[in-house]
Amino acid sequence: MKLTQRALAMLLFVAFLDFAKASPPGGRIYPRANEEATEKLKEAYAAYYQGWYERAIELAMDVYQKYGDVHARWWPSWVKRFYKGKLPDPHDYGAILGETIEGRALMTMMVKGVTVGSLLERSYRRLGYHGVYGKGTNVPSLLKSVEGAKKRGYRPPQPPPKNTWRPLPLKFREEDYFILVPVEEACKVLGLPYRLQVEQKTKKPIGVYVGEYVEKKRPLLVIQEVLRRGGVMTSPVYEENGVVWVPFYWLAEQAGIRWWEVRNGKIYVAPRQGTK
Amino acid sequence: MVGGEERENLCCAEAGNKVKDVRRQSIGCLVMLAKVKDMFVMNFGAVPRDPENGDWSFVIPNEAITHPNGFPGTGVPGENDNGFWLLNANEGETHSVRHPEVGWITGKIVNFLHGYAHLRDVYAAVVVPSEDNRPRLAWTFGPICNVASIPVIEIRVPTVRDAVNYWNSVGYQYDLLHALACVIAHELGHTILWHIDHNEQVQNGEDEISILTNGDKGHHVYGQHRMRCFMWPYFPPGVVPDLDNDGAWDSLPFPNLPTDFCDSDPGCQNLWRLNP
Repeated sequence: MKLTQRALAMLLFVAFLDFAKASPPGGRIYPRANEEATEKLKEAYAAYYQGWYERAIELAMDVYQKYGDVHARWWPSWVKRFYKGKLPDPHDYGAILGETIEGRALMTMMVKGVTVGSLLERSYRRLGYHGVYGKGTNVPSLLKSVEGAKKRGYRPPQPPPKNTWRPLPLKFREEDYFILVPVEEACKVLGLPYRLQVEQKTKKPIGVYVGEYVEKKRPLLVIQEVLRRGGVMTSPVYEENGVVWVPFYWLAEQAGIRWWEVRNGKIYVAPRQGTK
Repeated sequence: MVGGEERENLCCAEAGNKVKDVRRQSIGCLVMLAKVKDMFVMNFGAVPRDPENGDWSFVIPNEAITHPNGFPGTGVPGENDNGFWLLNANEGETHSVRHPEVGWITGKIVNFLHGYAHLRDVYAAVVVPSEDNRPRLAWTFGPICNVASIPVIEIRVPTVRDAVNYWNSVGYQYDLLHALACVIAHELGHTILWHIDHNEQVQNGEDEISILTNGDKGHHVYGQHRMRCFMWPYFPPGVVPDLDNDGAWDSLPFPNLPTDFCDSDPGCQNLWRLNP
């Protein structure tokens, strides 16, 4: 019994309709974010991953106050640039699952998405508000929990004074609100050991190892697989004209830098706090 | 019946059909059938990796499905006392497929989609990884007993990792692989406990109380059922969010993650349904 791709797509569509009606566990249907909300949530999403939790909360709250707990889904710019093929509507679960299961690309990993509640829960948790755990599905309850913690005197950890931060002599680019840096340059600046693996024929880098390589222990950061997979881009990591671009926050984490920001066209980092 | 070894080497029909398509060959490696305890789980999160690097942070390793402490756990008899495996894999068509570890192999393709699994009494589900940051760790799209659809579960690996890191940062020592196995087991549990509603009075699953008490699709009910079971509605099992907003969880999770479905209260081990 052989199944055509079209039949499979139809099946998945039917499956999705079934799911939509049944509202299975974890399957709450969120209102779809409009363009403005999606853009803000994209920025908030990047802010969260880059450790700027207050900024993520600020943006998510802005969306919440205007549109409620909406769900944004989007194709990252690097996916749009590198993926050779047609990308479905990011909210079309059936099509995305169909493409994934048919084996064309791991689209469920390529599409990014976030809800307001999820961003708020995770950001507040990172700031030390333990009471918000499990409340991402109910924003009013989550906010009540935050208010309660504030009334009890909780204050999240604060960064060192800004005048102690230093600028890095490092070029960068911004893509979908992620700060990307050339990996070789950045490793030199941050004092991280690295090894570049170059394909002999094309002279293109096909792998980057950041951190010390100790036998039977993986380096701190292995970028090889991402580059090798090429079109299946799940992270903002790519090679361009021989330069490998990676998110700065990956390297900052490896270098033990908790606080950093972009100011006046430069990346500023706080003195290391002894913790990652 | 064929032996487990042979079954492990089979790739799925859709990925293996076009062996001349080079692109498909490489993508086909994404689609590994994890043969586990007499069932098939098609894992779209299994991408080929260098085992020395152990870099599985953004995808689902087959070990999360074959994990001895994961699905379906001990004591689950399956139907007709035969476990889940009743399929004669020799009935499939013969194809050559490229296995990421052993190279080219000739195998029988088991097309379990389109109701075939049900005709043959085999348990077959599809696992896909996702980076959509909704509040839940995973999402189940349908039951195994519905011949019109495919039981697909979507696992948000970064969210699972985030949860594990969070609990480990407050003193727990959860193993990421076991945690992933638990989340997958929970979702696969939904595919066979879909028909179970332990509390018909509560249907809404958006706030903490209703999540804890709705009992849908086999979820345990707070205050009535055991906390140590894969079907506890929160991860990690045993945890109850801060319902009274006093800044503390109303119940903390177990130090060790569960390894099984419960045999009583409500007795998930005996409530399963595979066939239409």
